[in-house]
Amino acid sequence: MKFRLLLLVIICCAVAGIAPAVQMSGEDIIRKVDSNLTFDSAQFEAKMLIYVGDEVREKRMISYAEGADKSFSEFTYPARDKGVKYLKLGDQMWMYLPSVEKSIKIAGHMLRQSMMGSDYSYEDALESRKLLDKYSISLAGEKEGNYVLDLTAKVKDVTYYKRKVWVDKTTFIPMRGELYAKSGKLLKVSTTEKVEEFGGRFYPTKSVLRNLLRKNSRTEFIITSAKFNVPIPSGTFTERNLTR
Amino acid sequence: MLLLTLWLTLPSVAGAELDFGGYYKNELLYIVNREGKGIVADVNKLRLRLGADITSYLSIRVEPQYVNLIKSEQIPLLDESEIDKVDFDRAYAEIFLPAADITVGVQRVAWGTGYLWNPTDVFNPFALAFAIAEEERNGVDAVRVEVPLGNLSGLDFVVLTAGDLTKTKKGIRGKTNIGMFDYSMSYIAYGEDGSQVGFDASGEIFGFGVRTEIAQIHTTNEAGTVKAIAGWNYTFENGLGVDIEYFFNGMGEKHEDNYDWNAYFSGELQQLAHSYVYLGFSKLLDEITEARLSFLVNAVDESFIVYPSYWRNLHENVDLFIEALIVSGAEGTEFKPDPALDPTGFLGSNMYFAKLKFSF
Repeated sequence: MKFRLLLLVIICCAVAGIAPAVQMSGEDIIRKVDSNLTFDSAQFEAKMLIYVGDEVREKRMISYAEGADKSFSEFTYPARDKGVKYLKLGDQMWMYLPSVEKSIKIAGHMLRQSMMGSDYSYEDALESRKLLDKYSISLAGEKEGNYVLDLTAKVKDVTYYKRKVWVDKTTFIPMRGELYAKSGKLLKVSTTEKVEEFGGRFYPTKSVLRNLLRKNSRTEFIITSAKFNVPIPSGTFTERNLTR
Repeated sequence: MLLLTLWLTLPSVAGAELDFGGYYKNELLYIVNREGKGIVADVNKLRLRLGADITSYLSIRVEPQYVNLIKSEQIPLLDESEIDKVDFDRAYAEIFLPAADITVGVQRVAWGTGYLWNPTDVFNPFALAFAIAEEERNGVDAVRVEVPLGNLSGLDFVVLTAGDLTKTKKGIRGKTNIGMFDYSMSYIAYGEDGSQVGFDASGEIFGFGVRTEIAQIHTTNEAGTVKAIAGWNYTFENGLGVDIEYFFNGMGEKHEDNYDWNAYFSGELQQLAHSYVYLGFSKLLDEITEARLSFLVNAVDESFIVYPSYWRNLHENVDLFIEALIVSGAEGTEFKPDPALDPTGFLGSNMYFAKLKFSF
């Protein structure tokens, strides 16, 4: 009797199309992460809170992005930073400083420098390619509702040679990331503190980055509004817009 | 004044989007002249940034500034024509057409890739740029037409409009991006005094940021003189930045005995020697503090300036700078000229600054 009941359950599941649970590979997980974090186009308003000991500095910006290769950001607050703009096209970045009325190409290892005094470097802001394109992935296990993955660079030009990533099993958003140099030194730790849903997509709207090369500092990146797959005004990702 | 009047009356113009900002800066200087005597001066500068987008095709920008100088002793510290009056350092209208942007009025025209020296940037020349890097260069009366030809390419036409148009500077520059490099070429006519052709590039090689700028100058006195810069920058993993720039000045002298001091002090020449080197180090100590140390060396007479600088952001819109310009060299060198020749009376002095800047 019990066997017949069990057989009936299995048949029903098959008819209903519910397959038994299949273990996801590391690549499958990162593929879902990349799917969440990449988009055709986006428009953000965001703020950075830069903590230095007991002091905090707030910076606000408006950003536009198209795919992984184009982005444009303009800082709107505070007054001393208002009008500073960044343009990213592929692997190149330019900065416009209103105080000198000139655009400057940020090249070479100058990209290691801090962006606007935050714990994010220009390299962090430039990162665009999908994780799957840059890293070999292995699934290290599961912990507290997250997949734990080890990523090792498979191409030369990556900012961090190794990463350890905790990916939420429900939203497929990285909740924690440890970023390592080739020497094995832990350089930065990133944590996601808030995730929101935008039309079926999950996206981190509050992240905290700690640069371990600096004492007692962290930067919170908070997206205050976001629109995905919206038309971006033509001419946005141009040098003309940078200097206008 | 016309543009300022327009800006002030624009609230009554429907749809005008106004932008108001600026800064106030107080700069306390202590100058130790070559006799060892200390001189104290205090410079106050208020600069307003007023902008208005009248329509999507037209905007205006006006930047009046007022500078006053309080000093313990009468010294020609600043250009007297620039202090104790309101100066409209920027006053221009911008017209945005689909095919081009046109800028008319007192503006900044920034050509070239050099950080310290810009052989191709002849419209807003400036000496010792690194010493007051955050300062704006003086505006010039010009008409400028920028024609974009792609995301990173375009043509730039400039005509200086002060004075006789047949004698003023006019230039054309084409720029583009190929691979990981920005390139541009330019031609500038000096009116009756000659012309120059220029080239510049900036990009990356093996992790080094690199830049170069070359100008070949043809004047009534000299044909085919070359000025050029080559610069490199690198940032280490710990955040230490190093920047080097070499300047070849074909109009300069290979020996200090031949320096043209008259042309230098009259402003006709900006540099005396044949070659210079700049070396700079910078390090962000934390998110709101930076230390810099720079050296500017005259490679001919071996005089040099050391420029240590400390910056701290005291509050969101308040910045503190503590700096010094320390001069070294034998008497008669460029940075320590013969006092009898120096009309300013203070070249070769060491200077110490404390600057407080409030942005709004």
